[in-house]
Amino acid sequence: MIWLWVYLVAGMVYLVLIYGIHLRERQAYKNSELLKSMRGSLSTKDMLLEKVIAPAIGGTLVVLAWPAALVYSLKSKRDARLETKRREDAVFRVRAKDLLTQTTVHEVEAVAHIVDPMRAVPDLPFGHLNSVWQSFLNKRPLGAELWAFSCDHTSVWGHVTAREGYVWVLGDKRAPWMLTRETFKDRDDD
Amino acid sequence: MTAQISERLIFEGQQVALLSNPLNDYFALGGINPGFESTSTALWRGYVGAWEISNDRLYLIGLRGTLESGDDASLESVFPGFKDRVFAHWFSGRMRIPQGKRLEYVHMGYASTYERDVLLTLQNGVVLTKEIRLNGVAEDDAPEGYSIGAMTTWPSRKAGGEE
Repeated sequence: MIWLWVYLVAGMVYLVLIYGIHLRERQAYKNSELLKSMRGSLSTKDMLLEKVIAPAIGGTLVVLAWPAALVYSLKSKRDARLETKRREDAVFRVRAKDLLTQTTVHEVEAVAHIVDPMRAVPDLPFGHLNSVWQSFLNKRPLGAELWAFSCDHTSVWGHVTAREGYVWVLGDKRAPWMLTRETFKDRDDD
Repeated sequence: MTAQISERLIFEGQQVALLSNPLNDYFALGGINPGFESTSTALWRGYVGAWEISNDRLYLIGLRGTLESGDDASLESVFPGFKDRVFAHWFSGRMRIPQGKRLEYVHMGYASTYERDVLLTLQNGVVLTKEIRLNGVAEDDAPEGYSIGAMTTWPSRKAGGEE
């Protein structure tokens, strides 16, 4: 019997703890005009449900099954951390191992000249994408070297693409970059 | 999601459906997107491109849609100075052309399947290979050619009088 009381007291301590965390987090949005306008005014029945019945049921469940609530809470926090890391990893960066060869603007413009027998492309480096190239050149950090790069990239949606392009390299910094090709590797068409 | 209206392609002298969006790659590489207005769940991209393969090269020869400004889109909306034809040198990858009767309808993207797919592999806008993929034999009463089942449409912002 004593173990049952210990279990329930532990559940009550856990309930007080998570209620405190809830109150602290609620401060961030309780004055939100948007939320107020969405909620409108509550009827007496809804007020009773929201302020009394739901908290009573929730609190009772937490006290009775606090280990499950604790495991769920820890799992949620771990999932949130993993999701944050996954999104950070999905932000494209050129890594040192992606660099292929150092080159020059002159060399790149010589190979990026596009010829079309129907003259359906501007007579400029990178053709219709010349404005992208010009913008990239204008963003050159002082003293940076021009490198070609190639890598695979996994998007936040999980799609893998092969990417090629050019990047300005200055010491350990590899940015900004310009893509010249991006091809999906995990599907054969759109 | 809703099955999407296809792009159009003139291929080997015939107009066919193209289940790939090469212009998306242009925008992904930084090409300026003028901003297309979507007025249908079947056309989230907001435009339909007309393409042609001529001498194994991919060209964009037309563009229909409505810009967010309310103006009609044209080739020059994306490629100023090129009103008739644009060489798609930015595109590398595979393009899919469905052929025959429909095997299975999927109300999402270009996910429906057909008896055959012509798969063109391009590099820098030039066709490298053409292969035909056989997917199966459809029932006798299956519909022929690419089509979509249903969509929700809404008036353009310009037509609706909004800013």
